[in-house]
Amino acid sequence: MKLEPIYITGVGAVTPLGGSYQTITERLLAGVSGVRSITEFPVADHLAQIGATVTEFPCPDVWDADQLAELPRVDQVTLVSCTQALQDAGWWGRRSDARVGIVLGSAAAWESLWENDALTGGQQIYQTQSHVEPLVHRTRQHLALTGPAVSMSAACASGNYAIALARRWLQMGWVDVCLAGACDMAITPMTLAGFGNLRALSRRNDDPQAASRPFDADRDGFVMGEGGAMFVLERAAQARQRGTRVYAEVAGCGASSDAYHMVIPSPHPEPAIAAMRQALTDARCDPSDVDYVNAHATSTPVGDSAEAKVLQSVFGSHIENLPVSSTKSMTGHLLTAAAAVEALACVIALDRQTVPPTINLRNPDPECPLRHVPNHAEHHRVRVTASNSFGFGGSNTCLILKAA
Amino acid sequence: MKSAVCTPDSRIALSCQIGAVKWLRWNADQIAQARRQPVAFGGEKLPISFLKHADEQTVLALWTVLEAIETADLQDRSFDSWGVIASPSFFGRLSIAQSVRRYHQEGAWGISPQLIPHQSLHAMSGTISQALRIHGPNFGVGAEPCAGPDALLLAAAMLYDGQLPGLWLALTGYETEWIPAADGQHPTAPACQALAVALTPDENASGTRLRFGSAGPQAEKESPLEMSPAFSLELLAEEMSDPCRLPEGRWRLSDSHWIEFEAVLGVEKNLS
Repeated sequence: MKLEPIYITGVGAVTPLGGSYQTITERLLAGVSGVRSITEFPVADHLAQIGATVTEFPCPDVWDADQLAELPRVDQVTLVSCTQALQDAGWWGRRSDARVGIVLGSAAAWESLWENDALTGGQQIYQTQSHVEPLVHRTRQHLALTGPAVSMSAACASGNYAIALARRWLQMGWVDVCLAGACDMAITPMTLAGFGNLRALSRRNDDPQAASRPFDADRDGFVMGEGGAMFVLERAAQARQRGTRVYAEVAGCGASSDAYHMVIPSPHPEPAIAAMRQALTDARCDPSDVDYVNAHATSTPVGDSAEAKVLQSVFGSHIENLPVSSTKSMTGHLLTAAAAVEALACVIALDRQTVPPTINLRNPDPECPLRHVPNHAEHHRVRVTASNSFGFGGSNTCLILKAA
Repeated sequence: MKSAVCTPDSRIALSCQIGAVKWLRWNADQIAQARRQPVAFGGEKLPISFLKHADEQTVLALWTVLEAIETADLQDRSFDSWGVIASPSFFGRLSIAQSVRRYHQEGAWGISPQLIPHQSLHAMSGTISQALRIHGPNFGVGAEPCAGPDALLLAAAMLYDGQLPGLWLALTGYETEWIPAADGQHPTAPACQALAVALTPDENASGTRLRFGSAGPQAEKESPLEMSPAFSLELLAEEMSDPCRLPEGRWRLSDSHWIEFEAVLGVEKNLS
């Protein structure tokens, strides 16, 4: 089945590294860490007391800053990211002329809403919620969009799924333009406690900026991050006809499940390998075509070395010369939003022909023998990128972006 | 601007077959009992604690899928390369309420490490994937009441390119909204219901078809879809649970997308 190419023509993001494409690009390529001590709520009894929080909340000129600030934080991030993306793509003023849909990765919007409310004395969870619109529909209404709007979750792989599903809707002709990505403001007291008690988080509380260290032998867990990234996707012919800027082609997507355990990654690499190979096949790429891999690598002892084995298997001898980095070293792990923000890192690599680094990589783990990009960005020819994202529930995904 | 939009004006975007369907309505006791039952599929038993931490809707969704398999006599079939889409309603609400109380009382120490893995939106589809050893894609949709149409919109996207050999769709929800009590003395849960449907690519074989359609961009502008009935899990489940009756008419999924059911004439319907 020959399907029409789909392009990314707009980007919007709010991340621990900043709230605009320009700022995020500069800081990502400068190797800046977004991790800091958490001060937004008391953390004295938490095992992990650090996170990559969002500190810069830009308000697009089309929104009233005071009204925006009254919305729940996840609504703010989603709305700002979508608005930026539509403006960037040139669709903002004309969005009523087209069927603009949304596929939003969002794992715990209700949980966050209820938790934030309850911990500040609210009663929402104990009251009927049937009248409360879900996040994605609130966003659709704020943006006055006419296409379908859905939220979905495959945990930390959600962003890749959202992009893949939006791509299909476009190829089916169900929408003319589609916003796709994921947003998650998960650094809340209960989520921090839950992951902490799961023994998944770094406890390098006295040195926050050195805590997220994927592929480093001294890593001790991941650091939670928050934020989101949204993209405008549209059919190639339409983008060409509009003469708009094209960031990348969404060339291939692959997805599989471990069917092994809800939390623990499978000791068998085959499902993750299958997802990567499926994405490469979908993109009509040979493994040797790939110029940069943004690894899932969260900085956990088991996960990073398991992924290294997957990469070795998929890329064979090409892996020796293939730059691999984990931008979670700078952004922390944005959970539901991780894949979307890492797709943005790939867009930046294509845009700037520069590979972002893995910071804090001082002592590479011999179990992760990859062609790392330690601590400093590298200029590199980048025509094809691969971004891995895996998640609870056994999800494995890979997204291939190509220069258009 | 419309002239710049290069959209195929598709009416029927996709047709697929319903390989199995089951609707269950269980009360809290039935779900509690099922949680303790060993889960087995394909001759292999999962650990008895497999559903220990699962949300009630996850328990019912999994058992509904298992009963759909049994009813359609698919026990010997492998679902290895299939996908799973699951859409619960207000998922994890009771656990969140309990966790809020414990956090107030005990601080960070009181939060279960099982909360996030089993009470987030990915958990229902992930559990079904693990139980049936499904290695294709799995994800959750919505998490609010009436998210069934959203799940169907994404099911169509998953099946469109013909790469998946099949897809399990599980939709769940309570008959009435289950509201936790602030004092921790939670009222008995209302009955929970689940619909499990196996969708496979249309191969012109016998059975029942589900067709996904779009009004097309021009029609949408001129007359947004007004069709009855609007999608309702309750209504759809009720109709699909009757082996002699297919849901009639077009069911609205969005302002411009719909599904309809078709039984191939002269062929016995494959509904339970």
